[in-house]
Amino acid sequence: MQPLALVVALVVLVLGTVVPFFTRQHLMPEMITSHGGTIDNQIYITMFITGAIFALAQFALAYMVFRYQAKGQKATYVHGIWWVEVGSIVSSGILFIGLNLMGQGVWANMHLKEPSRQATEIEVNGQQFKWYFRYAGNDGIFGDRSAKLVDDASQNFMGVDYENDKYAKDDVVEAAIKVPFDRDVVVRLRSRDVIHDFFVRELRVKNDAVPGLEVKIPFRVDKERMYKFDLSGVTAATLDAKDVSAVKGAFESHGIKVTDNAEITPIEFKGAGGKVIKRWEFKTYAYSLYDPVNKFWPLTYSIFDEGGVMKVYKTGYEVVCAELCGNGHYTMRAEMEVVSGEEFDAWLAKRSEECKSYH
Amino acid sequence: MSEAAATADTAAAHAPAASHGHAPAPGGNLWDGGVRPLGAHSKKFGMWLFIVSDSITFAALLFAYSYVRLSNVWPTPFHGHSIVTSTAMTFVLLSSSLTMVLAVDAANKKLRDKAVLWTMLTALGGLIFVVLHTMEWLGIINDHLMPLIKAGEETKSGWTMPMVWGTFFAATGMHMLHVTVGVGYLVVLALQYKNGKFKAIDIEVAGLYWHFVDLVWMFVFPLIYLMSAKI
Amino acid sequence: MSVAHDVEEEHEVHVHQEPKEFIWKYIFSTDHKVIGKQYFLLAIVAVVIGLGLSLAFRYHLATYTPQGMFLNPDHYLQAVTMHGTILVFMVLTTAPLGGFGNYFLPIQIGAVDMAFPRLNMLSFWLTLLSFLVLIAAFVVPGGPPVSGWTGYPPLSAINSATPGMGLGQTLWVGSIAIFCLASLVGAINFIVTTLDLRARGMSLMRMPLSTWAWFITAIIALLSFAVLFAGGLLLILDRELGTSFYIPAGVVFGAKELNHKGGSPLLYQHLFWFFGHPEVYIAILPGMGIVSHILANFARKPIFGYNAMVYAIAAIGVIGFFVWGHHMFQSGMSPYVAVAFSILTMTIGVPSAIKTFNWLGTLWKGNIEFTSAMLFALGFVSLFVSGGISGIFLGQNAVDIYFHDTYFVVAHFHLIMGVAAMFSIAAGTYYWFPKMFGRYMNEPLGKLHFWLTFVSVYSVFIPMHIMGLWGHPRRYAGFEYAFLNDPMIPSMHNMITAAAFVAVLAQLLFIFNYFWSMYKGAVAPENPWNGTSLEWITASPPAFDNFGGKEPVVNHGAYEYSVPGAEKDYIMQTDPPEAAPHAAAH
Repeated sequence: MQPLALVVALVVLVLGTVVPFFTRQHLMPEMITSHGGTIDNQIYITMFITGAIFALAQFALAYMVFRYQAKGQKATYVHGIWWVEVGSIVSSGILFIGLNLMGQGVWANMHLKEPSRQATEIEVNGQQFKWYFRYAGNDGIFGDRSAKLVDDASQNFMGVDYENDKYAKDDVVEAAIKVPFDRDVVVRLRSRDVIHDFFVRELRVKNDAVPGLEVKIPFRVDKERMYKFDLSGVTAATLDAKDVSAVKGAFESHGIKVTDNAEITPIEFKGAGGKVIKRWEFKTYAYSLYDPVNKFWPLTYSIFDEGGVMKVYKTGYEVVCAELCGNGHYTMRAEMEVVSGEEFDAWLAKRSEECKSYH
Repeated sequence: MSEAAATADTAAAHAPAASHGHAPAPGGNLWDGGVRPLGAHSKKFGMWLFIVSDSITFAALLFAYSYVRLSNVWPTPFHGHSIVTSTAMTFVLLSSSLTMVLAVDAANKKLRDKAVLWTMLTALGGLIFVVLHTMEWLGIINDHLMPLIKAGEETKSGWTMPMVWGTFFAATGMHMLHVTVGVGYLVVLALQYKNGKFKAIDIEVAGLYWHFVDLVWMFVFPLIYLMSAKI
Repeated sequence: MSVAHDVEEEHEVHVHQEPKEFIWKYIFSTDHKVIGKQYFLLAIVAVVIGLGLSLAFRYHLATYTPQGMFLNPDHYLQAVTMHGTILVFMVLTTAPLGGFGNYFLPIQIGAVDMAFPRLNMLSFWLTLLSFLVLIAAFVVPGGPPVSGWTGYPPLSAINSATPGMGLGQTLWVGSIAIFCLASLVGAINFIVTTLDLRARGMSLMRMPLSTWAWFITAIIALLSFAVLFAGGLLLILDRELGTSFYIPAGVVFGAKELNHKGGSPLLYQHLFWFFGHPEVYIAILPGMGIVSHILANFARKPIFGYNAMVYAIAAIGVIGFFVWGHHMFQSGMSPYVAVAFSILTMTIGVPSAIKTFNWLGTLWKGNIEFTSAMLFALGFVSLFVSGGISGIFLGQNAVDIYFHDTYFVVAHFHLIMGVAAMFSIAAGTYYWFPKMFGRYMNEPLGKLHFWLTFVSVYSVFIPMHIMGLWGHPRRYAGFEYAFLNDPMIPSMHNMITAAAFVAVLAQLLFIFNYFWSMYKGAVAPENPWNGTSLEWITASPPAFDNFGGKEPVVNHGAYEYSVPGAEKDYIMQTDPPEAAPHAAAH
């Protein structure tokens, strides 16, 4: 009775664990960075190997339990078999260390390589319980900052020295982060009070933001990885007319719930050389399961006209905090928007001018 | 001796440890049980383990000190008076190690009164060290911390202890705690040894502790004082 | 030294009579068996509080709405913090080491008591004091700390980081510092006892694996708590005396810069994890030893690869000190250092794999009896594999970029260090209860306890791995994110909470069985399980001096089961050498 039940339990455990891992399509959230694939690969390889070890070990246990349950037999007097022990040392050693060495390339690319000099630098500032993001502005140089100048009332959350440092005046500070795709980006993580952790699931980026320390994390968002689907039969005119009903079917057929307050916003700007570039932003909302009336978050997509084909990309993401930072830890969130390099430049130039005139 | 004790069944009833002598049974190995393989009294071995653990605690404190010292510009606040006092303290503490050696020697030679005297003198040395050190502390608090505390009160900004004093009080405070505990230990030991409750081995074990405390000072003194001295 | 002098010195440690008065016999006892039971009782009280807290925050997560929270976010984090601290220190460290270790280590090596009985008592009372100081945090203004059982500064170092709280955090640090002293004293006692007080013939390689595990664990405790003590000391100074060991310059609270400067939050993490990782092994190594001991007993077989098991325990003890950095891969620590720590971390998987192989090898060709103790030991092996496997993910620095501080981590360390260790405690209790109290625990109730626990703990922690893959960060009091509004998340939280209630209620069954069996259980003989080690030659419960005036002499290894040509299927360690002519030399 007991051995049989234990066998059943172990088999159910293995199947119940391994099957969902191998069949579930969206085991991990989508991934949009060039380095993310290597991390995911490493995770999947590890999952495959450890899944096999897990199943083998649990089945072996089940086998021993069932096969050698007391039925009046005499146990075999054996103190060990040397080659089994040596074999287990060598094989587990090679396997574990080999697996680890495979992953070091990923780590080296992210942490040990000098980030590209052309990379767009964004300063990420954590504080209880908000994120603020700073861009160097048109001059490309971050202004000085000092904790003495911090003044939440005048929105100077990180103490930027607008008064005395000429590089500071055009710095842009935002509560949401805008990231250009197909460009190298470096985030400079900082904190002004306790330890926070900058985590964007889809970027496969996570690192502590530690007071008194600046940590640089490079990444590059690949536009193609944000691609969702084509909108067939939809023209620029329909989108300009902000006709949500025309695209609702297409979105819902791809599992994206379109709420009643969903909206389309055409966005136009002048790129380098005065060329007008256009996209349409599609925003639907995720309503809180716990408070569906008052609480909801935007789910942002962008529609690009690429040679007459309307392509939908997911461009809105969430920054979360992954290090315990106090009672508001679970609310410490920011929006992340991914835009094209041209749009990023145009936006930053404009915001930088605005900030400069304000300061 | 262990053989004899092992066969003495009545004696073994409440004290089988008597069989744990210093020599293995004939043909036996030191590690085969029934003997103390390290050839030392258990109390001595225990004290050595304490010293291992405690030196790790001090090492961690000194590691923390090096960590913050290397990542900061470090002032050199010790001069003149401080150096003279701390050198005198060092001299007293080292001398007390010598009296401790004499106490252990006397106890092993069964010279009970002499051992008590030397142990008490060692405790006295420790006491002088603590008194000198406390005066030194008070001086530093007066000269360096009170102005900061006053300024903090005046500006209502509160005060914080500069890193150099934080490390100073943490390291020397931990050491002074050890010396203070050691003085109490030695006094109790001397009195109880006098009336026969403690044995020579207890004096030897206390000696280990005392020499260890001295040794720690030989790290604390140069690292905390001399490296931050302006001469 | 003269011979006479020598004898005089040797006698004094161990000459003590059994006290008659209640207070000296049961309260301020220096008897290792009473102290062991005291530790065990402390662990039972602590586990009730710790698991009760977990039910509170699990219920909170299952019924969460932004308007009507069961706990407010402060209370949620306080519950999480105290749950972790109480279980790690007061249960997982005290029960397997202080409880079983104190009771059975001297008996298994054939000693009358610990080397330093009075220090042993001191160590228990310090532990109790530490527990009371920790519990006092519940009743002081502001309540217990919110900074997690890891207590990272600056959150834990600066009062204005958690407005209205503060005293609780100070008590927390103080409690841990006292616990360090208690562990230090206990560790010295264990090490000296194991090396100095072994009975004749009890060579190191004849010691039961449980004794080996307690011995190595004590060495780990001796070296690791020393560092935590220093770390805690500096944290108290930062909190109370205005020093800045862990607080850098330019820290801002309430839009005002603090005066602190010069410290580093990473310094604390290094000191904490230098202790914190070995602490994992302090919790689990005794479990490994106990389970090995029980598996051999009920499989009626010698331990498969006894020597390898000993070396594996020792290797885990050594390597355990060189892997702490894997808790800090994403902390801002030098990424080069992370590479070294990562590779070292993977090497610790090797001795763990050896142990698993050898447990399976011990069962192989055995004659397995399914007592409650054996079921829990088998459950331990299963959990050890499951929890160990996820460590292969987290030990890789690259993979940890994604998994750090998610539910995946929570699931991993709960399975291996929490639940597996709890299984070993349960296994040890069912196994040794007849020895400790002279009565059996109720077997049907024990089996029910096993099945409820086994199924429910897996139902709690396997789903948590999946939530970790989803990226769900730990220590969240609510779900204020779009991505946590996938309907999968609340349904899994609900399921986990339901399973957690079953798991915790099942433990009440165990506690009931424990106290009920003390008085009503079937009377047990000296050697109820036909075991081989020295605890089974003593009376049940053992005499005050353990062996009733006899001095055991050991002739055999610890696991001589089913020796060919022998009369019985087990050879006790004290059986005469000729009892097992065909036994392998040990």
